[in-house]
Amino acid sequence: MNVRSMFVALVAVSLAACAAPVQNAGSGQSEIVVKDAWARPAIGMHGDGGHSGHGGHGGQVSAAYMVIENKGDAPDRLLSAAGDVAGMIEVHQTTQKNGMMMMEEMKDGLEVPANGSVELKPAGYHIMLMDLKRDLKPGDAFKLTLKFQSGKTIDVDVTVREP
Amino acid sequence: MLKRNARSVRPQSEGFKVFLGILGSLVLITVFGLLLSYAPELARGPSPTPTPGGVAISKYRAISNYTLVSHTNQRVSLAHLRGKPTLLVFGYTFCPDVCPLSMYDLRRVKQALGEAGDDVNYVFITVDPERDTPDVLRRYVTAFDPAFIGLTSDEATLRKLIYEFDGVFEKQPPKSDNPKSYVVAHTSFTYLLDAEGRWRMMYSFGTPIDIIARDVQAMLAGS
Repeated sequence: MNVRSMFVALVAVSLAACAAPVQNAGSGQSEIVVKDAWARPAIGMHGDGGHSGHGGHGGQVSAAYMVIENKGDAPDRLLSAAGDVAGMIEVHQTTQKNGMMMMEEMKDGLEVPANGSVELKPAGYHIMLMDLKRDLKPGDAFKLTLKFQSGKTIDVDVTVREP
Repeated sequence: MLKRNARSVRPQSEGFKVFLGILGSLVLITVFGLLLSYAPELARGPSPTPTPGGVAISKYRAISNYTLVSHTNQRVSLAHLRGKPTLLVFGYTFCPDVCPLSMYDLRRVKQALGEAGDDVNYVFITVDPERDTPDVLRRYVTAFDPAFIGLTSDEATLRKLIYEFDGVFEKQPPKSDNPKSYVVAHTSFTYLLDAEGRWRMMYSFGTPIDIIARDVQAMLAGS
């Protein structure tokens, strides 16, 4: 084996090493498991029937948090969540800059890396529940259906508890 | 013969250097490629770094005596809060993530203080007067603790008030499909005022409860 053929072999090996994650990502599948799903309580925000004169107030909100694991070898992406607990449900990110808190919808969804996980937690990612259909008291539970880019849908039982 | 040997060695050793160089580059490229493939993970998400302690306001800053509207729909001047230390947060009830967590923190501080927890005002001032009417505020703050106080005013007054705490808020453009679903970016510190209504400490979001409670205790002991 001369130097040139060694070199060619090494290039091949190195290129293979570079390409390996991408190839795995392309050929494999995501495998999603959701853990520790909870939402903060939202109590007493109903019942004024518009007496405040604003035709509905904005306080009927909560946020759901969880750990989304991907045991598969392809990344996936949480695109949306649905459920009858709220009129409007979005995947959001809270960002912080110099003490200024800002919240944005993640229009492109939230990536769940292959063989990894993403945690939705306070001051980070959350599933925002707007226009809640009922009070959420500690101990209550509700269902969310998560939709992923891979086409998978996962039903999650969310427990209401204080943070 | 010797000459031929030298010639045949030199290209090899040069070739070896080139080989090493290319190998090095390839290793770098490989490492970089691997890093890149994990970059989304590295770059992912905000990583709030809670400061271990509060920030002391070097010169006690007197806060102007604004008259606001309380969650019981009464006009209340900030001077009314004097006589007790005050823990103060700005927020809005439509805020699902950070604001309620700050409110839970206030409640935990109160719990941590035990009986002395009653000798402190806990105040939530809205940055969203449009949606946070006194009635909405009442249901919001009392859900955390019956003793908590909610305050609102007109937007201009609230802007001046938060500015005295070096803070700002900015209503974000409402989404076209739901004009009521706008969010308000805002400064989200917790402020500690003394019994004379002077701003003394500020705490970033996520500051451990016991640190805030300790400062309040020290203030109660000193007053």
